Amino acid sequence: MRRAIILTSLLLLVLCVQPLSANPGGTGDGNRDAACGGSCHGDPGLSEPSSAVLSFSQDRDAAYVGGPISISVTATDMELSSRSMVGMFLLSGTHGVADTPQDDGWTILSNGEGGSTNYVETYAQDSNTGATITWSLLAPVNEGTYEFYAAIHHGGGGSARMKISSVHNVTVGPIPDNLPQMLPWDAMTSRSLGEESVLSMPVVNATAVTLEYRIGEGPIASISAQMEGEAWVVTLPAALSDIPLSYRVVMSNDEFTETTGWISVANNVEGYTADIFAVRLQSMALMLGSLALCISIQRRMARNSNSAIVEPEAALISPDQTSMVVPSMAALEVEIPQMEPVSLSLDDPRRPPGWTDEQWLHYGPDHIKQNHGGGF
Amino acid sequence: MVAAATLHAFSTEMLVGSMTFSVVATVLCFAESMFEKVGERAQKGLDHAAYFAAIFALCCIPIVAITGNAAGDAASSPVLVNKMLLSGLCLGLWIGVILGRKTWGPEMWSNRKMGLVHTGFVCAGYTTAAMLGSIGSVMTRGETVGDLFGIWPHFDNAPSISFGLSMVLFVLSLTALLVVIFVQPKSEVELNL
Repeated sequence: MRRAIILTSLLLLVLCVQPLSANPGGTGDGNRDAACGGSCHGDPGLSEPSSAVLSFSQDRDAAYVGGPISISVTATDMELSSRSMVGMFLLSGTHGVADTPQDDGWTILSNGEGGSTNYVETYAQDSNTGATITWSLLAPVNEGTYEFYAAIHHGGGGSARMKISSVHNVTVGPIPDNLPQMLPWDAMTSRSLGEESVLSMPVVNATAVTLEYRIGEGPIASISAQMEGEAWVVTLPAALSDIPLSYRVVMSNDEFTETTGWISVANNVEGYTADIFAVRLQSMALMLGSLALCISIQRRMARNSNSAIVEPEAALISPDQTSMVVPSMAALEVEIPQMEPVSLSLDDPRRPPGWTDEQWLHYGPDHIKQNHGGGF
Repeated sequence: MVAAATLHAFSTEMLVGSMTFSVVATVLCFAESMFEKVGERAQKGLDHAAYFAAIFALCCIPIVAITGNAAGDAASSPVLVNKMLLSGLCLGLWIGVILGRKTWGPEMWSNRKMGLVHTGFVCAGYTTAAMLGSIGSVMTRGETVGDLFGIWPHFDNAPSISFGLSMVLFVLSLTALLVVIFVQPKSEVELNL
């Protein structure tokens, strides 16, 4: 009966274990298709529907060919895991292959998190506030109406969840004559701390180019760029600490003023490097040290009050193990009769060569006991 | 071919399984030496099970360390550096556990003080292995069951010790071990071996 209760309890404990989700810590930002993560977040056996509400917003009604536009995706009302992590996609299709904005000819200047990828992992404070990611894009070279989808992957309630939004159309129109325009350009999205950044921007049809930057959502500072050859050049000041810095380019002429979306700059904090050989030495030192500690404590614990008798004189130490004890002759005279009340012959053949009479009388009985099985 | 990370996961599971078995059997042995409920025969069986599981776990530790070394670049990751340091500590403690059990034999459990010390070392070795597993879990899954304890360390920072100082530490540890082996008075059991 008792055994049955124990077994039943163990089985119940096994049944109580919650199914775990696959990557609760996320997989990192990257350029990913809609099918990415489908094996966990899309598998009906492992996942559940998401109640997320996905909404789009953009900084202008339409984009020009090759022109800038910022698209923000906000997710709210979703279930959240204890880590509150969500992964958000900006997609140009839902086929599962070749459906990143880049596949449709868009250029992602910034994903708002210090990179230029269409998939971004971030944290939501709570499901009401949700999470917002803003992508700063350059439009393709062909006019037309382009489809965008937003998708979210997240956990919550012990399950992986995902949601794909309905379509959001963005019109890319013809370039007005004389519109200031940024030609295809690799925006700077990361740099080392303490390092100034010289930005060389291929802007056409502009009479003035200004770089605006801000820390977090703080006040905007601006620096004028100078024309050098075919590009406008400006220096973004160095960041001395890991601050959330973002910048945008304002291009203007007599008729138009064009602005790129905010481009976030990640600070490359100096990476950790270790001398691997030194680490190996430290590891071995820990191993040897812990082994020494084990052996030492085991020996101390195993010694009893009689152990001093069987040890050679050089090994006799005080009870607190801090000083050597040299037994006096008087003590020897007292100890010998206590040990073995038998006579010991001075010319015993078992006496080791080189032992003095005194040593033989003192340690002899023990020596015989240890090495010759006793017997006088 | 099988990736080093897969072999690492496989050998880790073997290690943790055998270590857990050894720890449970050791704790039961100690409990029996305290309360004397199941009898000497059962205690002897548990002692042997703990001993051989510990030896198997010891054989797994180098495999785990080697495959783990091949699976990641420790030079650029403080977490992996901490894994290497804890691996050394775990190996040292576990060798000490097995040496102790080999020296004292099953009679160790008749001395409660010895039994307590032995159980303490077994638990310390297992805790170190659990920390290693916890670090691996944080790296691959982003979380660890250790978080449930609230005070579980995450090892995001590693000591930065120069090569010279590392060498000094190594020499000191080696000296300490040699002093313990050759200078510290041996116990009666060792003298009678």
